Amino acid sequence: MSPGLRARAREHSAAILLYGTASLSLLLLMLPLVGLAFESPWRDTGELLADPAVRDALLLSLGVSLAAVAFSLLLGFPLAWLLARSNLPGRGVVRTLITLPMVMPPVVAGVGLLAAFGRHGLLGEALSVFGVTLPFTTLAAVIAATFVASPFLITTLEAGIVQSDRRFEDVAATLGASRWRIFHSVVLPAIRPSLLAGIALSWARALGEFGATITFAGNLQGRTQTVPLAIYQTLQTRPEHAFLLAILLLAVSLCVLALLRAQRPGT
Amino acid sequence: MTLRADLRLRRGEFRLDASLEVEAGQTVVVLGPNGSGKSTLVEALAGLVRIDDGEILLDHRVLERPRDGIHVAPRHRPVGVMFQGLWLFPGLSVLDNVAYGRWARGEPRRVARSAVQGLLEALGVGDLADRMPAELSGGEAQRVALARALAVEPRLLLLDEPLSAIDVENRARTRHVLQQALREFPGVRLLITHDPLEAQLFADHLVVLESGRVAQAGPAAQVRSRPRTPFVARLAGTNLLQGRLVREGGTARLECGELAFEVGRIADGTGREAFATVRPGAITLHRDKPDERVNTWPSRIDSIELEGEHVRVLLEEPAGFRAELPAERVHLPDFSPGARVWASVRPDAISVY
Repeated sequence: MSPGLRARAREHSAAILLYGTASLSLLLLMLPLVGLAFESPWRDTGELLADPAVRDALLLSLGVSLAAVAFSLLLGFPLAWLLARSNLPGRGVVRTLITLPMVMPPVVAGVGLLAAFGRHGLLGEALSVFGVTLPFTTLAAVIAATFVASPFLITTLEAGIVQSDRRFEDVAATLGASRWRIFHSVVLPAIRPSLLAGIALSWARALGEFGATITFAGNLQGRTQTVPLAIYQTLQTRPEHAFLLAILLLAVSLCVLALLRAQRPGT
Repeated sequence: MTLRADLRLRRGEFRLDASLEVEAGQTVVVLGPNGSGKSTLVEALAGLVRIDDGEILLDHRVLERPRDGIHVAPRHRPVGVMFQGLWLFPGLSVLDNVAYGRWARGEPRRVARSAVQGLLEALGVGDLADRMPAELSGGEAQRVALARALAVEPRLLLLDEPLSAIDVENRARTRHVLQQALREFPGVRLLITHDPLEAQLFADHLVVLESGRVAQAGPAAQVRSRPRTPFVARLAGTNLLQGRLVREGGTARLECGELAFEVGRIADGTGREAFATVRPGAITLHRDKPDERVNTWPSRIDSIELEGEHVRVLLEEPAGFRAELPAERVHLPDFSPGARVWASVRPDAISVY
């Protein structure tokens, strides 16, 4: 073989290696979806949707995940703001603590929540004095979802707030705008992309939440059994219906993500 | 209408301690090097940073007086600010940017929009009303920012480096627009700049700020002809001597540390601290010690610059002294940086005050 041909052959094999591994990774990512699509008993869709347990799970999933996003926003926004704008000491530590739930195994999160809010937990005991027991209630499912989802919202928001220059707020203030007007006419448009991204990320995380929920809130139909929990349970009795349910959950998440995408100009 | 401000504040290591008094219809220019506290001054007058002590009075109304716990919020001050960098709201059209202030003060949007259309036209940007800020040139953006600051009909107009965002070709034209707008503005006008040329063009009254303090203030022409700090002298294109005036027999001398200069006629007393300017063109440099003994001193060349038909030489002694020589009279190798030279100046080229 001439040196030129040899070089070309080497180039060829490099290309084959590159394209080959890329295809493999794509295959790995796509195969489960394709499997679900092929293995699902599509004709049972009507039956499945008529099942009260499935409808309960769907509604509960939507309700719990949206409530978790709402809580995350309500509680997370001030924290993200302080992290981005204040000079408070210990911000670095707080930032690390916030990211902990993102990397923590969900079952550990669930056990931690039990230790905090459980009947004999840190706060649970005080709460039970007022007749409030959190574990195994819908609120517990919301708390579990908020715990694992809010860090996504807070960190994304913080980055957005850091990027939005406060000089714009100064300008608005000198032009006579009140704090509230500055917030909705200057700050909100500036952080909108990161706000929407944060909502999408935390919402997806809340919707898929399994481990912390089953540990802290249990698996009670109509109260704490969200779709992921229902999938897990169905898998043990009618696996093919679990496939269908999985596709249903996937469809719901895609719909909401598409909705959020449509709100973001330029993406 | 008058602005009276006496500002003292600390931010970390930085201290601002400055007093200002500006009459309506007058343009006061605050001139200072970077880091002298010019922008902090603007922020304090606008109420964006609180002063620690002193007071701000506009038209006899107290805007701030920490001693009495008074701090009028920025949005309640009749102050229009054009910040360095302009900061047009990127998501709003030109028209909405300018209407923002009136809208924020409670006017319905449509009323606010039609109220500011005329202002845009007066500044020559009426046809840009529907554009977005990203689509504007530097000069256009500058006029829109000016219109936005004027739209709320402030009594005090603060312009922080208003021409810094504009490229050199458009600067003259934009400067002209700005000058005209300032002339027509009835309230108190305060312009901040680090550019001596801008200061010269705009200032009725000049305030020189250095390291947070007013180094010198007064009518612009007077500040230029009677500089009191090396910075001001450099802006005025001259050299500054500071020393003690001594009269001996028929001659008067200015003693500045190691050096003493014989000066021309002076009107008043001796023994006082005095300043003197020395025109760079009046200084001559020699390679060897000249016969002339009066006002001749040894020095060393710090750096040298060729400018047109002149050579500008920066001396080490006195520090920062500049000499300007006709290029054809300089044998450059004699004047390379580090070279020892003798400098001399005629007594009548030193003007004492």
